[in-house]
Amino acid sequence: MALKHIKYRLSELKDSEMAVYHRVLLLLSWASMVCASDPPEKPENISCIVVQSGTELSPEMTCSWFPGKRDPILPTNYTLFMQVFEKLDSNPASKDNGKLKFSTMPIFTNVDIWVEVENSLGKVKSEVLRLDPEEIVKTNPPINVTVTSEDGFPTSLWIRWKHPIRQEFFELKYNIRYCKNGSHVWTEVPPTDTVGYIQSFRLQSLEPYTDYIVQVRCINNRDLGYWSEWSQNVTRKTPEAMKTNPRINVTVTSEDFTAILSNNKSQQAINEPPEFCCGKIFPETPVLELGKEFTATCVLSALGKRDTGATADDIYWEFKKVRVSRERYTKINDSAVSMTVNVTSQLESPLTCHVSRSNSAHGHINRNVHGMFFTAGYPPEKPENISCIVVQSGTELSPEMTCSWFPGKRDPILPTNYTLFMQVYEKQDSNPASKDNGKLKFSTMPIFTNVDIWVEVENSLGKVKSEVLRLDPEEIVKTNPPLYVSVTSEDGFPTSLLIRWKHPIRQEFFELKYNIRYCKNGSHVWTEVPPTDTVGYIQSFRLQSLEPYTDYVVQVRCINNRDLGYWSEWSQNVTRKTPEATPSSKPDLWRVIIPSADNTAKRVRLMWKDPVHSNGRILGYNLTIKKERKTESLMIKSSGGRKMYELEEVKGAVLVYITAHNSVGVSKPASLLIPREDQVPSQLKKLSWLSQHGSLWVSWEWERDRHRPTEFVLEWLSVSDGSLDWQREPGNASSAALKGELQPFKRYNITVYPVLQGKPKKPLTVAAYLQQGPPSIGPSLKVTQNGKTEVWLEWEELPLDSQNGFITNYTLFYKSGNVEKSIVLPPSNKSYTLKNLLRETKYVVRVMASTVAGSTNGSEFTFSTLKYAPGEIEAIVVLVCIGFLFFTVLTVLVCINKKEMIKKHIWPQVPDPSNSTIANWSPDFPSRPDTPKEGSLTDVSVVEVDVFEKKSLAEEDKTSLPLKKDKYLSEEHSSGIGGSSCMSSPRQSVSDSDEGGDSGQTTASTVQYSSVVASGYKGQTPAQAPAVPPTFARSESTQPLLEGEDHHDGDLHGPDPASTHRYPRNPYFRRNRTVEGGTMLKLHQIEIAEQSASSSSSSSSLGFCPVEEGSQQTTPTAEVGVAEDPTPSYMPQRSGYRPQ
Amino acid sequence: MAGAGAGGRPGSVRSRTGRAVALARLLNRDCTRLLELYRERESLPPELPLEKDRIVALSPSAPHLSANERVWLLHSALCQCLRLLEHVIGWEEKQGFSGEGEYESVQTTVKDRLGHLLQSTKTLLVDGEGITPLTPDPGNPEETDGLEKGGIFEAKLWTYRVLQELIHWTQSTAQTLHNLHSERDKDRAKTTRKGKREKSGAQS
Repeated sequence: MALKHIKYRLSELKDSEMAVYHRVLLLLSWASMVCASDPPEKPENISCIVVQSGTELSPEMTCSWFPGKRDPILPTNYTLFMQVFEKLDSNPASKDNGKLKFSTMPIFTNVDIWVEVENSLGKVKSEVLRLDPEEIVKTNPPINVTVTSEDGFPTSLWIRWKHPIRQEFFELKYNIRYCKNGSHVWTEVPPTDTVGYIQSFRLQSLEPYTDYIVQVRCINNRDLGYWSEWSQNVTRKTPEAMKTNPRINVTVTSEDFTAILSNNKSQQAINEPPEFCCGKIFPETPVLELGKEFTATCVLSALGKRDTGATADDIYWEFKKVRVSRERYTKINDSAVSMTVNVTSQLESPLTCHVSRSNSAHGHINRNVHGMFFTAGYPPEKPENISCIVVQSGTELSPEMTCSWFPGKRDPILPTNYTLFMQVYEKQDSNPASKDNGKLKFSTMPIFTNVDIWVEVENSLGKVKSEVLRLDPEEIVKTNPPLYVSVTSEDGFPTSLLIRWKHPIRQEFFELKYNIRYCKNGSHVWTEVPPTDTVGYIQSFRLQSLEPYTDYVVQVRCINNRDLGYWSEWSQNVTRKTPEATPSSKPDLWRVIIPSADNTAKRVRLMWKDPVHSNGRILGYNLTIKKERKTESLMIKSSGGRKMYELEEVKGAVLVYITAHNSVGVSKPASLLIPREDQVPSQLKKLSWLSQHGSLWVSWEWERDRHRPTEFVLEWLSVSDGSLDWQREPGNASSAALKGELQPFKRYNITVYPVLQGKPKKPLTVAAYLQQGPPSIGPSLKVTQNGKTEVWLEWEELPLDSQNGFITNYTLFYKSGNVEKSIVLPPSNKSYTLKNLLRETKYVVRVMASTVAGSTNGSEFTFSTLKYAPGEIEAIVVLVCIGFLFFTVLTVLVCINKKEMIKKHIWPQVPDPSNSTIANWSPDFPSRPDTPKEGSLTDVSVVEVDVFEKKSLAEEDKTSLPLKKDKYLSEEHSSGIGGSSCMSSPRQSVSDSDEGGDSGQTTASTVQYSSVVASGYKGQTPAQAPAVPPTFARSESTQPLLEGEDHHDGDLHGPDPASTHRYPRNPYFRRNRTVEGGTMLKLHQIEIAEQSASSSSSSSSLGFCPVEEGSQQTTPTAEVGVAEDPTPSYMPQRSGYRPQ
Repeated sequence: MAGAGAGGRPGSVRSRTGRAVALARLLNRDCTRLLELYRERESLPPELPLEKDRIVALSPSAPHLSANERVWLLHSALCQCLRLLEHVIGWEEKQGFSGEGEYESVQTTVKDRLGHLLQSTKTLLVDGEGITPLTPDPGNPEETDGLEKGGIFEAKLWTYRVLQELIHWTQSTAQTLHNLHSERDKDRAKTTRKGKREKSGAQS
């Protein structure tokens, strides 16, 4: 207001001064607008409604809300949003209500509804309202409502209707109300009486032969949504009542009384009428005034007294079955009792009078004497504050006058009639009115004439008249808005617009005065032209001090210029652009310095914005660049759209000027100095940011004791897309809201440059978000190394666009079975080693990234810890190998060192057969035996050495040979050569021999060494065997078992000359050629020996093991064979042994 | 400031005379419009001369008349005009010319407003209750039987004259009352100044 005041005082100044003042005022008004503006407030209390359309629900939902008390002043957009499952939709809305359109109303579905409000200072979103459209349905009223009367039921009416909406939507419940025709006091049927999904109802306890108006409405029977409107009035008269008991003069019918006695419950069956008798109540059917006393008198008739024997003492009173205390009774005489009560709303109609008496003649009598209905209420109050209005209709005044008044606070309860009266001179007229307003109709509106207006209110308790309002209709006229409003711009007047209009009403009625208001297009902050500027019966006005090349919206309204009546509505918007003018402000010039790799030169990207007051369409720019000694000038057209220019290889300081021009003129130049590298530290301290009400605020501190800069340049760079923008703030500012279109969830690097006389100084930079949100994706995790009880996890930093805010921490969750643990890690951590895990266990692990606005989990990763740590197996194997090697080496060393001892121990000295007694006892035995014939039976030699007893073979043979010889023969046949000298044969033979001779000798104490060469070679036909009887040689020895002496069937049996040559020296003993691998075999042999000992009686079991058999067969003689006896007597063995 | 109680803005309310002047001007405009509509309806030529002889022959502008007498004469003239208009309306209804067009609408408005103006002028008279307006001279049958003495054409011309008469007398009323209003304003101003002077003289 102060600004306006100043503005119009200035009209007295000269033009040149005016121009300066206008600029100052524009700046001030702009500043005041910015200061006075507010970000939008959060809408609250959203409520919606869905109505029925035909037999379906309307596809349109109407919502309203409270937009907040504060007017945002700025142009503010309201948008109503809805979401049904994933489907999101929105609709522009007005300030406090809007509509949502669906293809089909999604009833029984959750619909999320919210409102977003946005203006240039921010954006705010309401709370989300989740609802099922069923909860907000307002159906049509019940349809086909009919009311019928039934003969014989003068106090009831039957109402029928149809459900307005299908049962599939929901079931309904109903409300019914009725009143007597002409009255407007509705009686509502108690809701408990109309429960259920009904389509008919019988009203009872009505008055006979009375017109009743009935209405029905409905609502979802789950009490959801809204009540429908009441159905249209249906009027029906109740039937006439039958004649009642002729003996008694009563005013209520028997049916009425039935209804009374049935406690007004309407659906009860009509019972037998009660027996009335005896008398009457005075007064009948009164209207009682609440708060006043009321007296009724019950008088027993003479006939009644005689019939019942009752007297006044037997009378009692009831208000709807509630007996009145006797204290209130007054006995008038023997037949009459009066009753006085204070009338309150608790008294219920009807009032009945009864007699109760017991005597011998009549027994116990309890009879209704009489009854009466009554209503209670207040007399009407005097209407006050009558006001009226007359509107324009066409070129005339409407012949109708609308008046309203305050009817008083108290509800009269009783049916009350309001009538609006008027009198013009002698002519008086009236019109029925509603409680607080009414209309008066004239043939012609009597303007310039005194009209008297008043209201009369009447009900059964009284009548009251308001004060008379005398007026001339001229005083209450509201005309139409001005007609044909047009706005024109005039060339050469860039700051003015000419408005023209026509008077909406003829001058003969009255002259008008006008109000004009205007605003920039898109804004809704109106500026009103001071009324003092628009005095007179004008039809045009020139708006001045406008901004050039700006769209303005203009409206005009009018009123009787005598300040009578009401302002008209504002005329429709008329928009017009002011003409162009020379740009009145400089372009906004800024730069981005891109240093080169070698730091010797730099690139400078110059950027600029149109002048704030461009006052027209900018056609181009004139750019002047001053380098050390060189000046370069460029014309850049604005049609390209790019408002930037790059300077390459900039080494020294550069001064840049730029001007902008439109079709009218050129702006003042803007300059920017790009200095050499400035090493002075920034004098800015503590740059911080804050997101508030949808705006990003930056604040900074300037070093004390330093001259403040001319201005600050706030530059913000979108890290995600590289877009850059800037704004300027005055040098004394310490905070500012960024005015660009910043996006939520995007990171901006905000840099604040102090600018001192066009020279930007060292800046400070801070990263910020307009709005932070939870990351859009979670970190993806990988296991870099897996161990037995620990695992090395690693994740990558989220892409910046997915972070949606500053990562405040990572939370690592790991789960084994149902136990989940978590570890919170700082945002700098991108890896972690989980320790103390269980070996060979499956773990599920994930990482959650958090910002201040929420967290997002990454995908889960499953791994299992190892059974062994890496290298553990290798270590075991190496250790085992080393141990084994050590053992082997040790064994070999021992063997080498103790060679002789071992040799002696293992291979004891075997007597030289050549020196044996046998040899001695057959000196004549040819040293070379006869060459056995081909195909003859192979000799079998059995050598049995008793290691322990060390008996000589000769001695043993001497004693046992004759006995065993036969058996050997037989056994040889049983075993055969194919059995490869099976041990069974000699054992059997031993057993046999034991059985037969030396029973004390067992296999435990003796080991039989035998070589059985039976029946030739495998595959050879033993046909000639009988010709040469087999020869057996037996040697008994206690020599222990030797290993590795099996596997040599071939040696034994085969005629391999090599084998023969291998052991050429000893014809008696065959040596196993794999004797060095005999350690294990030795153990086997020992084991077998033990088995043999434990199962000497079952020697057959031993006999089926060819390995053991072989080993037993050949061993002892092998070493012996090593003996240096060069006896070349092996050959005979090939074909058989020589007979022994 | 009666407007305050009426619900409208509390502005400057007209005086009774001012209101009568406004009403007379409004009615004069309505009568002019009614004549235009009648001319259009009856296709009367625009050059049809205005009748110089008055049907209602009264002269309220005579200089010797007092203000009250002038108002009384105007009231009487308007009263006769209303009677003439009612005759015209009655005749048109009888002839079946009446309809629901703008002419009929304006005709009703004129009739109503003429009634209002009559009431207004009546209230302006010093003794409004006892006033008896002048009645037409029974010896001047033209005032009453202009519709009956000729054919339809004559009747239409008569109607035209009646409308002209309305225009004349409403204009005359507006003018006379305006003058009266101005004189009363001057008198009031003089009285006020005189009262102030006397008051200031008494104080001094």
